[in-house]
Amino acid sequence: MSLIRHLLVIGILLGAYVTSSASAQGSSLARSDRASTTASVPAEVLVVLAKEEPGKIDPQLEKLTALRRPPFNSFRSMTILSRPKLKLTPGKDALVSLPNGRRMKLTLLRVMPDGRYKVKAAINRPDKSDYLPLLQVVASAGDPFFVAGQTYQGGTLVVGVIVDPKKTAR
Amino acid sequence: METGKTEDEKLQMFFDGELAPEEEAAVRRSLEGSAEGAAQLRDWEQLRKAMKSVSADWAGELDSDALFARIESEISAPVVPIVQPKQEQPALRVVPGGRERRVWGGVATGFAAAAAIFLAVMAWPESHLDPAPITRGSEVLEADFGSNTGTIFEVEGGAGESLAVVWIDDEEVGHP
Amino acid sequence: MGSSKKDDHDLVQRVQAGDSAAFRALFDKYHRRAFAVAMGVVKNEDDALDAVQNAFVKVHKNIHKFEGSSSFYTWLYRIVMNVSIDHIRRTSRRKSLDFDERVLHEESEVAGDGALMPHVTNANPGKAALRSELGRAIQAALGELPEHHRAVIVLREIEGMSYEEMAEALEVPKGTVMSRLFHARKKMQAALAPYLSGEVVSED
Repeated sequence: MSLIRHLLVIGILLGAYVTSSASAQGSSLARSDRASTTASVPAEVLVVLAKEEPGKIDPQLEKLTALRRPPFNSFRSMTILSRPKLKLTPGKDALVSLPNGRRMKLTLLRVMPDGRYKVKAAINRPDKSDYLPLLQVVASAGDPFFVAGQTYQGGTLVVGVIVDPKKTAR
Repeated sequence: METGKTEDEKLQMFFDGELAPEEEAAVRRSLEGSAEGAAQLRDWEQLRKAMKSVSADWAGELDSDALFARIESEISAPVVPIVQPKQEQPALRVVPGGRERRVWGGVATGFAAAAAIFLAVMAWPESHLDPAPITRGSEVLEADFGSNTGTIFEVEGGAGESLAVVWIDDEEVGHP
Repeated sequence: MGSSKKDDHDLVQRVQAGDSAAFRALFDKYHRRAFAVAMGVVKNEDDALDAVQNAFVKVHKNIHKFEGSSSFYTWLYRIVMNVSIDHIRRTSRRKSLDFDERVLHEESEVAGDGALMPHVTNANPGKAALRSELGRAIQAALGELPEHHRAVIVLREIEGMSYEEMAEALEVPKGTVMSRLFHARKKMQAALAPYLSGEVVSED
């Protein structure tokens, strides 16, 4: 009886060891979409004031051909008001002030298995939900997503977010 | 703001009843000798009459009760935000039951986990060598516009990729 | 408009307190005019109905935020305009693949070179048909205006708003309103010349 018990104990210990190693491995292999707690990713936010009156398109925006297509094509002038660069750390909020008193809150949720970035965004006045309470986007490195429509100084704010901007495969 | 008005501006303001009485009287006097000014006013008057007459027709057939019923039903509908179902990894569970079942369960789990590890390790180098192609562009997974009206567009980028544009009406007067 | 503004203020307060009859009263007072304004912008009856529906739903949802610094009337029309212009943007995006974008946005094509001609028949129809032809022509002409020019001429000629009310509703300076109105009238006159010159008589 005691031999069986000994074998059972060894089996339990072996099982526990293997199980615990499996859990450790599983968290990095089976859940490869969970972002490392240390890895942060650069990002850039473009805050553009777009107007329908004739004017200049900022030369830095010329490569963003999307801004010449609908729904942006009615804008004849575009001025970059700010272009803050951030580091997005998974699970931590990054705040960007907008000129109209609102703030954009960006959070990197995780890196997807295909290498794209799942990002959460919100734009509101502090302690309010007055504009965009929640947006979740998945974006590839260097490819922007845009939030537009806030009226400001006779024009419209167009906010572009680019995660990992230098990695664009162009 | 009222100083230095052009003749066109004054005439338009006169037509729209936006001039102060003295200015209005001055424009009226100047129109007595201006065929061009009088003609412009006549044209604007014709345009106004035409637009008013057709716009009266636009609302003529409106079923107000039906429209209000639609509004009421939308107001009373519960708000359901678009939510992506969370994909959670199932947690490892302890097999419930007596001590013996727990023991055998633990051993079986351990061996199964070892097998899983073995397979994962064997498979990992291949997936590392052949990564899935990265999809370009950006897309919206979930959006909550609160009480605003929003529209989600797709716009083409320079390399043909599809980029997400979220357009949200901003009705409020800016309160910095 | 003084007593009307006070009436609106009272109704708004009652709606904010949860009085649904007051909301119906506001709807009854303004929905036809809101519809006419939306029609002038979106040009299509179903879309205009949707725009008015969306606008009143938004009024109801946001009435607690309405502080009374502007009149209810201009606040409502701001919402109607935003909803209608948003619709135009969405449909212009959908149509962009098979529609010449320049037609939507190139102002020079409208004034002076005769590029825009409304659907005209040379038949000699009865008065009702004539009126409907004029209606189509006006809608076609409105459709060729940039959206912000369309907004001011619709609010002025259909709704009868003052410059100040339009500036408040559209959140632009009064000077901008005047300038847009002047250009919008010029383009509409050019587009509707056959109808307004006496060749086709509109019924009053």
